Amino acid sequence: MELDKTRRFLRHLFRSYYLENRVLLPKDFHMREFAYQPWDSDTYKRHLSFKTVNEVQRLLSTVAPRHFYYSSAKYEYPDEPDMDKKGWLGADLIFDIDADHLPVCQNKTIELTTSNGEKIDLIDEECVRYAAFEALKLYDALVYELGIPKHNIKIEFSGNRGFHVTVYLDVDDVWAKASSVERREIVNYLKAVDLLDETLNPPINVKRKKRVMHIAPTIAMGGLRGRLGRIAVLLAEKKYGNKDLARVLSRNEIISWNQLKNRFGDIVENIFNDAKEELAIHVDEQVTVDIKRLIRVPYSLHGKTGLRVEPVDPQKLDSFQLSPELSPFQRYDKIAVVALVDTPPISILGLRIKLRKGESYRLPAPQAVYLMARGLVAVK
Amino acid sequence: MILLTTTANVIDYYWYPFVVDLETFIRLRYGVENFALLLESRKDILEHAVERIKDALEHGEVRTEPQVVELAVCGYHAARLLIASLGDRWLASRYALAEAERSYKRLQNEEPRTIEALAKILGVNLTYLAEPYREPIAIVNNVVIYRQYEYRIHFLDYVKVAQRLLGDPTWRPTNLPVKQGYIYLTKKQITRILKEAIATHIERSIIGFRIELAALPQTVKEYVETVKGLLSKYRKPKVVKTGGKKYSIKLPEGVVLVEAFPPCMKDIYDALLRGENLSHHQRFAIATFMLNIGATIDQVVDLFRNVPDFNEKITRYQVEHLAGLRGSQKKYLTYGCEKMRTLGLCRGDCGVKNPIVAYYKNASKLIRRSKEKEASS
Repeated sequence: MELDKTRRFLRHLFRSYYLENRVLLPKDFHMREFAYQPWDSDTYKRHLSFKTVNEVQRLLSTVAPRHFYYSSAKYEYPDEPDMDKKGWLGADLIFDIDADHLPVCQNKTIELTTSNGEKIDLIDEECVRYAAFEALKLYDALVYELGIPKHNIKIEFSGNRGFHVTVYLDVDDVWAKASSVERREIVNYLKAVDLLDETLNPPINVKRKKRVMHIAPTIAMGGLRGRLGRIAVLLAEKKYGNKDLARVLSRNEIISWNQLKNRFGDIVENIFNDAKEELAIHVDEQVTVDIKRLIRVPYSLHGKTGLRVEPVDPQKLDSFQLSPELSPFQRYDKIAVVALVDTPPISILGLRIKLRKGESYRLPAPQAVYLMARGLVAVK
Repeated sequence: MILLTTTANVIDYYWYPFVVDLETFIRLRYGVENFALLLESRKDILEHAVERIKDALEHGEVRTEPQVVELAVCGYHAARLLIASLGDRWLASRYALAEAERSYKRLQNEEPRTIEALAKILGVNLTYLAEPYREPIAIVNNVVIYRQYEYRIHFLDYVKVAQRLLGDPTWRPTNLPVKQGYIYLTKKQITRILKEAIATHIERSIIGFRIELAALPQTVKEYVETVKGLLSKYRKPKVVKTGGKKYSIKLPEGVVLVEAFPPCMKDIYDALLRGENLSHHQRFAIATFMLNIGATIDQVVDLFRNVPDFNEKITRYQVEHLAGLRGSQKKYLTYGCEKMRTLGLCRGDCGVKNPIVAYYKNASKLIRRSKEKEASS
């Protein structure tokens, strides 16, 4: 495939990035399969394996791939092309949260057709914040419900419109050995599939005359009750800005609904209603159940956006937003481009623009690269 | 009774004969190595084994109560041997469930140490909590009321063992107290889970029982025949329900009646035999259809041999994927009639919603007709 000028330009930019920056590799990277997609082909180059970090960097700075991945699985022979002979040893637990799969973000996409007829959709950039909240809920559930040590969990912005949450595991960890069937049950649990009302409101049989007071969920309770309690704390603090209520709810004290409502009023009901809506954690089932999945390498570049796959501290998830800072080309000079299509007003990394086919624009490098990678503009 | 394991004083073999290692038992008890040879001179054991199997077929529960522990243990293992010789998966599974049902009756009244010991043998990693885990439920007369859980099991162990129960929402982890990687359960719940583990354990031990039918003593072979007779008497034919009507037919695995194919599938099938190059949808439709009516992987792969781009390795991989043996481990359903219609693959109105139902409907007609012919001639 003959590369057009725009792709050659992008490859040049990616190469300059990889010449100066290192990707982040887990300690056991030599047991993983690596794969990349070059700029001049639609197929992946798979079954690569590396012994040293320098070998990886050499590939990146010479090929400057459009996409770069490693496997969630660890193998005896990571470079063996026959999947049956690879010698699967175990796989990390991986979760993909994609903003356009979130119920709140349905119908918040703009569909566009690129110059070569490919259909793409741009999502409302606000939706990435919902995805960040989803990742935060997931992080809490992994820690408190599934007992995963905090230091094993890594969260990354995917480079496009969501987050990857990886639980790094030694191959002999019980979670690493979980089969697809078992991983599907983890997903079902996180998604709160088939949740019964009695789980959140346990029925109680007592003789009449006794005074029964129902209690609010606390953060220390098991299963979905505990999750409800923790989400209520998050909402009280971050969405409703009620620090007092958040403090009371996170105290892990058994407290009746009546007491809570007497003290804080209607907000209690609002928060818990919202929390109930947030109980399901929307992860992509297909990704988690696949025990041989390829995932983007942290600090590699996403070929459809030109953004870095960026590790995010769980504490900072709630302030995460799409911005030019996620682009390694932020300090580059403005780039002159020509629009290949007409678009309605769109927001790209916080910049509002409207493209007219055939017209020229001088755009900040992050946005110019983003639009070029998406096939909406060409370099001039 | 001979003590075979350190658990012998904790686990009563009479109720849990599957924990006894057969080879060790007969060597210590009778001084022999070959169980089949022993059975030749012990018709009482074979008779008891048949009783157990008959109970399984008739009641779905082993009810017979032998006089001595020895008979229970040997009878159970003899039943395993007879079923394994027949090689019938359905019977293996039915028997396993019936034995589990019997053990379960006793299990519900066992002490924690017995439950823990049994679980260990079954490979289920659970812990009895001397101090139960408590979940607050409500406040009654100013006192907090708790629900107590005496056992805990790792999340992954739970979903492995409870797999068959998960269709029922009350058994989903979603509705259980999950904390720090463990699921907390009451005694009642844990015994129900162990019943599952027992059934799985027994089923596997039957399937894994390697037997050379030819090498069995004549007496034992006769009992295999007896079990075969019982099986054909009790086994319910496969029933497919559609629109209130029942089409009851019985087809063993690997038997495919091409004459009963609905027109859409017959078309694709013929095209395949002619070696035509088919679309992805056509290939998907016929492969999933065949797999869902009981064709083996080999049969489906063979069918694709004539297509121009045939590659055995790739085809096998893909068929295994569709059969749920690979990848997401989900067995794929075939397209419904509605989807076939939108793909332009439907060839007529069969009055059903799915090609598989049409197949069984046709097949049951075919079988009935051939039976009538048989009767009249």
